[in-house]
Amino acid sequence: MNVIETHQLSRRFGRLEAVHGLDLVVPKGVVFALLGPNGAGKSTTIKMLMNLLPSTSGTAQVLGVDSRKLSPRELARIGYVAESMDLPEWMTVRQFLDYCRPFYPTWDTALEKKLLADFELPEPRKLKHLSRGMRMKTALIAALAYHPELLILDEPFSGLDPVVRDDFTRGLIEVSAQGEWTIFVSSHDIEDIERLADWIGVIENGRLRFAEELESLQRRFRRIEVTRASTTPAPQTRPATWLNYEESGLMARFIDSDYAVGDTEKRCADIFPGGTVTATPVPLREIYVTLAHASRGKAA
Amino acid sequence: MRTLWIIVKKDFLRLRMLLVLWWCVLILRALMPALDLMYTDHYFPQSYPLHANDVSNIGWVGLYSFGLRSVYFLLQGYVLMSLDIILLIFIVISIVQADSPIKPFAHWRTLPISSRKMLGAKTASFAVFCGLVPALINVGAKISYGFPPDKWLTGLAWFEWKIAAIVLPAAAMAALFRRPLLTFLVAVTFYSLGNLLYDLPEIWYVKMNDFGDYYQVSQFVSRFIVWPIVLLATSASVMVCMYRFRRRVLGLAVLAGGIGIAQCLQITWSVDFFLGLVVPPIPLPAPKSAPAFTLQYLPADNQIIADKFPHGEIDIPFNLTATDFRTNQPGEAWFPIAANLSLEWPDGKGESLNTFGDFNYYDGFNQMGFNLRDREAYPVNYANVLNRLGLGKMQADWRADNMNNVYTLSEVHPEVIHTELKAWWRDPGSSYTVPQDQVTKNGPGKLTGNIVFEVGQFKRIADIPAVAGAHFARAQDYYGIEKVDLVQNGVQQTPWLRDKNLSQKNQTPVVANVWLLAQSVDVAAAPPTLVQLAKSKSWNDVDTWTDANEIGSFAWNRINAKDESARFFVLWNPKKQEVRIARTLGLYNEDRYGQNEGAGLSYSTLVTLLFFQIFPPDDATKVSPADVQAWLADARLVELRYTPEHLYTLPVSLDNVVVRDVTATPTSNAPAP
Repeated sequence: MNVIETHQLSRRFGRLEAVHGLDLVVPKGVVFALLGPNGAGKSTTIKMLMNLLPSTSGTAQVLGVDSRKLSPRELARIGYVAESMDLPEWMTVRQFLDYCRPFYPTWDTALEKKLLADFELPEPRKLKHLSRGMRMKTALIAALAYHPELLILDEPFSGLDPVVRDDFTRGLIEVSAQGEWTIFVSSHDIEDIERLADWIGVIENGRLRFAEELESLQRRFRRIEVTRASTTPAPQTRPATWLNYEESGLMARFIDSDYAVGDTEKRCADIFPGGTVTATPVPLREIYVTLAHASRGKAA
Repeated sequence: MRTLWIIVKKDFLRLRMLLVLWWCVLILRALMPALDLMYTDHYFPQSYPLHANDVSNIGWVGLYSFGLRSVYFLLQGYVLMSLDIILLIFIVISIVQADSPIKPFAHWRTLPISSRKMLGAKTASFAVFCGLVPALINVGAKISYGFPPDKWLTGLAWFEWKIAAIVLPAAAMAALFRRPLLTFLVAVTFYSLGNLLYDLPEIWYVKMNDFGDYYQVSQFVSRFIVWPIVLLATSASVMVCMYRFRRRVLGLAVLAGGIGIAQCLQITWSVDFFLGLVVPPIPLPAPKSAPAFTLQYLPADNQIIADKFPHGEIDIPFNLTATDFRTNQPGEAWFPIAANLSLEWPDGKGESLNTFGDFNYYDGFNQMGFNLRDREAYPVNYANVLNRLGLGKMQADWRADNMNNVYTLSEVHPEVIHTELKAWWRDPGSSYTVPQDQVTKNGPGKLTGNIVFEVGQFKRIADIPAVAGAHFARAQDYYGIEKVDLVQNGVQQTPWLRDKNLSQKNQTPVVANVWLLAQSVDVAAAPPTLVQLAKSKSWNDVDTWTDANEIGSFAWNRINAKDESARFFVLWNPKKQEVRIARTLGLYNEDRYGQNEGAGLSYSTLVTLLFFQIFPPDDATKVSPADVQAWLADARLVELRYTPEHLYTLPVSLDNVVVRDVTATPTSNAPAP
């Protein structure tokens, strides 16, 4: 079952097309990360999913319901934390949690206490006097304490210092390990996402470039280094799956986006007879950057 | 309900300081009148110099003359009133914008609560913070002032209505905008613009031929009931739209539509949309048989006044004589109170004379649309009435020519008291508008219609002893002789006497002018001790009077017609069994310019400046200042009250009404047709 499904979801702001024909599927129980540079359309997508912003065209289904018709019943099953959230800052942490609690029949006070302790939040302090990270943590507690089926996080790491970011990510990993959560998180901080996500979607200029399981992505992307024999000339043509190709002396380097053990080596041997091939895994960040460069090159 | 309560609780938690401050302001405003009464000893201190030739100033100048009073006015009228309104607007804006319908990132939008429930919660917050608590303050103040239970609700609806008139538009503005300061500025602009729109047609109407139609009773309904309802309904609709659809454009469209409807109503007051809905003007029972009257058309003093406006005015004086009018009760009197007349010209065109008279006298009657300006009734033997009331004889008959300015029912003069068969009244100043084209026709017209008058009772309800004597210190908490002027050649110094050319009749070269101040304090706002005093003087229903006045509408007045009563005073010398009639010079209903409205108390200080003239009927030279002093030394102030009881309608039919253009013809008495 898919927790989120969009079909040709689009949103215009005047002449600007923030999201264009987005077709996205988020299966149940995964941590789905929507990656993209600033202004790519991540937050707009999430706002449309939360019915905070009407779509210009297309549809989105969240928990099986049209996002434009999300009722309190569905909202009680969705946790939402966003960087731009307008929290009642005059409240203390305690008041805020006390305020949110009655809205959710499934509120888990024990979990609330545990998260409060884990995140080391000062309960009597007003939200407006908290650091950005602490505010996000407070919002996260308020979003987790009722065991939502779907947790939507919009740029949760933005502006957090590395330690807080690490805390936050660990907290999320813990939570995601606890049960049947589906987490939909948007970010441009790839390192944290890599630790967290099962699925990756990349959005750029309002268009979804791809969406794939992280494991499969990491399996098929490899950094390849080939040391040519001195007599072997540089290849004139290369497979399209070889991205970021560069040569330096006898050394050829590229990212293979379609790596398969044996096949890639065989293909390299065909192109670089007598060469030695080394394949190393590629971090998500490099995959993302490679794809971004590749798509820009294509666009150019 | 649980969700509503959570939001209301949250709103309270957030705004508690502001709310408590506002409630304190309300409480203070409710307490101020009592503090004022307890700690300021005189409204009109003895030392205050009167300006005898400018009587209209006396009351007001007196009211503003003293430091403590000034502080009171400053606090109550400006500081507290401004604080009250500003705090309320900010509270409303804060309540709405805490969970704004148009902030896309508002936290509540991600909570499991529907827009409808949120709107309900906001309404509940308004109801509790701005409705219920102020109502409790209002009622609490009334209880603490010793107000009887049946009076607690008096004025409460009006009070709540005024709060709603601030809350709802401010809430609508807050729903349309995101920032409190901007919202506040827009709200202020909105109120100002609303006022301008409200007043524009009035300015416009003055230039119209039929501006006289402006004060129709049905127009009152449009103006004072429907217009505010449209305003409030529009504001509520904007709120609903914003929470339901979250589209500012839609909200603004609804707002514009509402303003448009309200403005259409404002522009079309002259259309009697609500004629059928109007409360019957005078819900008094009619007697089984109406008495017969004769109506005599009199020579006009001044028939047409053509001026820069394209209309003319016509005065039609006539005598009305009751030929078979019997009143058996002592103190019974009758008043013409309304005229529904039309004038038909020879060419068949007609004029509705529904602006008969002047409108500038008394709020309660301003809305009638057809006040009779200069009405009076002369008893053939009013002394008989006074005798029946136990007051002895009325001296002199000089008023027969000079008491033409009986302003309002609340200032009724006792010379209308009669029990005799015959009575008549003259209306020399009634006027109505005539289009310019009719001015030049000069054709005799026919006047038809009816005159409504009522019969009521005068009762002697209070005697206040010792108002006179000792050159005239305040004798009571409520009454005091302010000054006695013994004026040589008093006619010259007394404008209304001079105007009537009394001197030409060789009367009153010596006049004793007795200036008496009568203060009544609304029991709603008076401390219990004063309430007791008021009750002992049978003033229990003073508040009804002031409430009616505050509402300022004829309709409301007449709904409460049975409670409506008019007070007046006579100076009575029991030893001589003589009465001097009070001519009311000023009726200062000092309602603090509405400054108490926020507190919901219809606290009013009724300051009546009574003016008695004491002089002999025949030969003024017989009166000396010592005579006057001696007379006053024994005098008592007697309060009489008039209560309407019956209503009569008299058909009117007058032929040969001639009009002329005074710009073409010198004003002179026209011959009676």
